[in-house]
Amino acid sequence: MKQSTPQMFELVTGSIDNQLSQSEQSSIDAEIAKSASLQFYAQIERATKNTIQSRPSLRHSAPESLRTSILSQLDAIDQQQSQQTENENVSTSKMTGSVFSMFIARPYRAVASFLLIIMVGYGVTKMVLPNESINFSSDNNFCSQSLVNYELLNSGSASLALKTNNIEELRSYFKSKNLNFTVELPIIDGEFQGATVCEGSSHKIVTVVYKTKENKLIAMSEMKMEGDKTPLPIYDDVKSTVKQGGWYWQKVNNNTSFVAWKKNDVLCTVVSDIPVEQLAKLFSWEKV
Amino acid sequence: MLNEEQRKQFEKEAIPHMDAIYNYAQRMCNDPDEAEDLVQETFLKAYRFFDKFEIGTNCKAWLFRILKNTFINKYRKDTKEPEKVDYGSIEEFYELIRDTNSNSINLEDTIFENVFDDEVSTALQRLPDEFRTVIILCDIEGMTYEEIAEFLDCPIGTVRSRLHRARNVLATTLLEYAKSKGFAKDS
Repeated sequence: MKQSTPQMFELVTGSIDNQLSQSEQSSIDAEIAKSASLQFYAQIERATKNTIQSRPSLRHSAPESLRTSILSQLDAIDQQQSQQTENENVSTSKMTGSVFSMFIARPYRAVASFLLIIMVGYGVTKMVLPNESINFSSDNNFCSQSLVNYELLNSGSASLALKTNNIEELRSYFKSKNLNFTVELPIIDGEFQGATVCEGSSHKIVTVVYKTKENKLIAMSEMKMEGDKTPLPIYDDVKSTVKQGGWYWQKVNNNTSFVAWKKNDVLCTVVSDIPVEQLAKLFSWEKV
Repeated sequence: MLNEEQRKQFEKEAIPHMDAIYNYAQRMCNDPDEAEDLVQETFLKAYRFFDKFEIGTNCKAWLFRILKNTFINKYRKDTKEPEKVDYGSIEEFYELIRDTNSNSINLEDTIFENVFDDEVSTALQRLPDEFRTVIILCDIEGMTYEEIAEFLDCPIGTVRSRLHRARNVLATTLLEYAKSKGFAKDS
């Protein structure tokens, strides 16, 4: 008599859950009919499944207070968005169509959404953009640094002050450096993969990496400008775009997109291997 | 942005799954307050993303995916650690299978009958996360292997294998409880 293999026991599991193909089902049915141990195992496993299924106490119901609280918060979001729509009606006329149309069509919501990303940085509320006197010809500028940082992260060769996949560790890091810093995760339909902090002599950049369902990476960079002796400059065209409240987008190559924008006095960047139109879909939009 | 119609749709499609989402959150966090925070965050995130949800597709699975991402983002610290599975228990289980006289009792109907609810709950809670997850999704939430595989981002074969091993560990624990009540006999 043929001995039952572990694979057969696993097929019994599939059979109990009614998740086998017709051919698999026929095959395991024949094996079960021949094997006392498989028959016994099937009984035990079915009893285990039935025990879990038949105990109502294993199902926790959401407390009514939670349900009420969530619905109230949905009301609040609706109310905010309703006000937002009114503001948009005034501002959208100034916008032009472009590859950034998804952002531009809803600028306030876009800005608000990315504000959460902005908060992944040092003392964000105090940061300022570089002033006019900065030498924009420098290769080592904010934009290129974001791209370099992204490449370094992708290749695993970044020189890092900290690398963590735990947001609490990131918070502790800033605390240990006596930095007034609030870490908030952006609202993004992806899994937080990790954050890195690169420290140079004159700048610090935080990069947050997310993995989306399609296994693509997003890197977001931020830097501290306040107190830096020689802050990283930014390109002229980027600067002029973001100073006007617009978004700067650059297709670096076929696989990489670079985005820069400004919220109040804060410059933010996203580097991604996701086309910007798709990138927009990964973020939610909400009012500031 | 959600309009009034979409809000209604959200309440129709998503809100009814709150118990399932809460149950899973509670089982994973093992703390009612943390579970509530997690569920709240999940539903608010889902609401913000609801215009990305395709009506007619599986809303429950979509909510579970958001819950998973939220859970991982919040409690990531230990998730890289490989789960420690008591494979000894699985071997013991097979020993038990070999040594027990299967004709002596009607196992399916009676063997775990006298095990208390809290013992079943404890046995479930003691499972490693990856095992507990598949049991909850399959046996409590009634998801298909395909849905679970999508949720876990793994092949269907892995789901089946985990369920098989999870039920072995669970059955071993439940058999111990049953034995302690004198219902199941030592071989």
